[in-house]
Amino acid sequence: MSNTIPSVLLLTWACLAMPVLSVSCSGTALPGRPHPEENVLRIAVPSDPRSLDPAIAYDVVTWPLVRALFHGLIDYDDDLNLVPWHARSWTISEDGRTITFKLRPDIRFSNGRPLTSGDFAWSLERILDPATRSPGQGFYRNIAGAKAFQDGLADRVAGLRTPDPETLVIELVHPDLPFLYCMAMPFAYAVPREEVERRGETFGRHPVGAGPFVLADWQRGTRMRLEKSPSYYRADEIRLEAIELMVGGDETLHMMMFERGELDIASVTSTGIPDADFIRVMKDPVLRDRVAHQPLNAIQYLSMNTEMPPFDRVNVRRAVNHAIDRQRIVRLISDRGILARGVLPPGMPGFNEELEGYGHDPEKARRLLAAAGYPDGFTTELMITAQSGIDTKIGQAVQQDLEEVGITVEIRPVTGPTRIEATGRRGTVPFSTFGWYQDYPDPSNFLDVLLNGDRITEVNSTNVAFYDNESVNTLLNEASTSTDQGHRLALYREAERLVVEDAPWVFLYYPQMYLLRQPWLKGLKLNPVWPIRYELMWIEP
Amino acid sequence: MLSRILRRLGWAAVILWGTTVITFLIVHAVPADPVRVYAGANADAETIERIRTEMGFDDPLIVQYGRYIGNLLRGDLGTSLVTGERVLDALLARFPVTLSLALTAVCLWMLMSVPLGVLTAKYRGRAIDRAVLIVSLVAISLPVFWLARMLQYYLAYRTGLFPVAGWAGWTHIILPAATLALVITGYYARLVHTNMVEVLNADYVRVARAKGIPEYVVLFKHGLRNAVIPVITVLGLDMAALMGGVVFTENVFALPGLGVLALQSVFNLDVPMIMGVVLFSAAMVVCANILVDFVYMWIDPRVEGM
Repeated sequence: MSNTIPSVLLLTWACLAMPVLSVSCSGTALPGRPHPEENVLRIAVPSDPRSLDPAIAYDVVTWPLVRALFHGLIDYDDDLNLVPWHARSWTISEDGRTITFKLRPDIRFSNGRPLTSGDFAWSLERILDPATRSPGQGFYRNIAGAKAFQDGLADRVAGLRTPDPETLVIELVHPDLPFLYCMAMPFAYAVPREEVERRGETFGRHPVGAGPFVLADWQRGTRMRLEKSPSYYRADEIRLEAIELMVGGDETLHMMMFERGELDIASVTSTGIPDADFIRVMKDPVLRDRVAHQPLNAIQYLSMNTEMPPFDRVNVRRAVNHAIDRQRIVRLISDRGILARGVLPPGMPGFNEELEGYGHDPEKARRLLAAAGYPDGFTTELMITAQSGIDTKIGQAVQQDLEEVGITVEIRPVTGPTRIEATGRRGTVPFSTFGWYQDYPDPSNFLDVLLNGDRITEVNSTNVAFYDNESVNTLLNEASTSTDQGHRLALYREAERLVVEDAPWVFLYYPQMYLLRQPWLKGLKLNPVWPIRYELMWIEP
Repeated sequence: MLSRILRRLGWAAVILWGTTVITFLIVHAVPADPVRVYAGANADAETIERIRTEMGFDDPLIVQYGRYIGNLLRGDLGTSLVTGERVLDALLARFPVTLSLALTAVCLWMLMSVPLGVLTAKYRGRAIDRAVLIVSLVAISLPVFWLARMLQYYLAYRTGLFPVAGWAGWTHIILPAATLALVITGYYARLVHTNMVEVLNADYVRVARAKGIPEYVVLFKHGLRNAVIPVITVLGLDMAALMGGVVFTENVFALPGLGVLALQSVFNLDVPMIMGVVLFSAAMVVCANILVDFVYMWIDPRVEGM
């Protein structure tokens, strides 16, 4: 009788084991297998892009996809000079307030309709339309009539004119050299009005553009597939047949899939290689050769709120700069950054090699603290992003370094959104980690946005140090309207020198992007503005 | 019977309404600004204020809640702030994945725990009983995310027996379901064990044996049927706990289910989506409990009169 029990169990477990065995027999492919589909690029992203609408998309993962689907007027060459793209040429009037673009006549949207200057004008107007809720609207408010249009006082943006289908004229309120960079941003890419009106708010899920690829499939949370557009005007130069995106999983998972040959690039985010795997990858003779790296136009810094004691005293801020061993922080992040001496990263026009910054000198830090009236140091709170491993490392290193000079730091980890909200609110956060990635390669995008005192707002301030130096503001305001690039860069250099002297930040390091790709992936050309350009890539098994 | 059903449904409605109030208050108490998250860290203050007006976030909280409930009663859960997707569509698209994962896991752990529970009850105090007890204790103590990563590393990444992650067919569900099942099996095996021991000592079992009824009939018909009633109750209550495990498991294995959606909406502070996921999960738990109630009545007719 008792024999029946083991046989029942045996039967149950046999049923359970069957699928396991059948999977083991069919198995998944092993590393080193041939590429499954010729010229199909396989990548993975942690979550769905929020939208493929150029008016809405605003992150480093989605922008390369938007670039693959849409087409803009101007683009960058590998030296970050602006070059014609859809525009054949452009001219800027003597007073710097009128820009005239001459367009190519031979480009069509993937729905077959020719693309004209009217499409670019309408797309810009759409960005400015409050109903579009575009995060990029601020970049185009210098267009004449933009404010009246946004406030509902005009039906059209007066400063956008299209005398003929091949000419686009943009009039600005005041001269603005970086405005051309804004025209190279994906926000300014052309969208077809009829498709946007047909799809309404879902245009971002059913994008139609004039780029080298079209969206073939998007199953939210699962996968996305872009296929080569046969109607692209340079279709013969595009060698990839498709881009296959897996949606989901974190960077550790993507690394596993990469090592099993299931992905062609380990990660397309700015991190590139997971922190935990970085040292192993760089020591592995096979993997190391598959790494490409590129310094980014970005900076990692600690912001000290110059309106809040004790950071309202310049000597305290200088002392903190001297007390922190930035070299050690760079080592802690596996040397994935270049030591910062100022605000502007090396890839940025106006970068000043001669800036000395602050060396690690705890003794000097103590003297400066005493001079500022804090001979015994003080206690403060450092806000960091809880999910960020790098922030945690920075926080702990800073805590140790500052303890040495008598400053007690309590680390306060919060979520990313909370940190952004709190640091932008006046008089709220004394000390916080921060990172900034350029929108375009112009010093104004760092100095003017992050350190101009005239830009301080009560909430949502991007000047999170609430740094307000009249001389710096004057220099920055003059540079923003100057049309002489040499003069502008000189003004920015001077402004940066004053900022470093006033030390509203602890200038930590300029991050670098590391990209791990399979040996069969060709055509990868990194640059600080566009680390990923799918249209240049191909697979060579 | 009918009044019992109506009473249960009435309570369900109250629970769901309470869920909307609590979730609404929590997401708005978070010291972060959903508009700022939407617009990105680089957006200027004017852009953020204009978007806030467009999204209706500048209205008083009570107006926003009223609008939410009004839409909810019309079956409209809102639109994601981040993706522009209708919340209900997103939930319905993700639900089958979570349901398959949960059902497969429940089947796996019931298939493992019931025989184990019966076996250990039958051989109480013997080596097999102790071995199962020790393994169960270890399994219960394992964090789901750790076990998931270990199974993924050894059974998928190192050996290639299973796909590492993603969602492309039934083979992708086995490891995630096994993760959930392994953690919970031990607990259920003990539960079945305890109830079986109690039932096997009851007089009616002794009578059944004395009548010469075959042992497997005694165990599975007279014993198990009675021993499993409390297990079904616990199963209903565990649906909520299972949702927690699902969030971790789906994220480790990149399964496009409600768990991943929940986590992403929290990171993006996507208020309508967070509200939607919580409400939907609460509805699922309430439904599971009602279902268990009826299964309970079916298994044990005495319950109906209670």
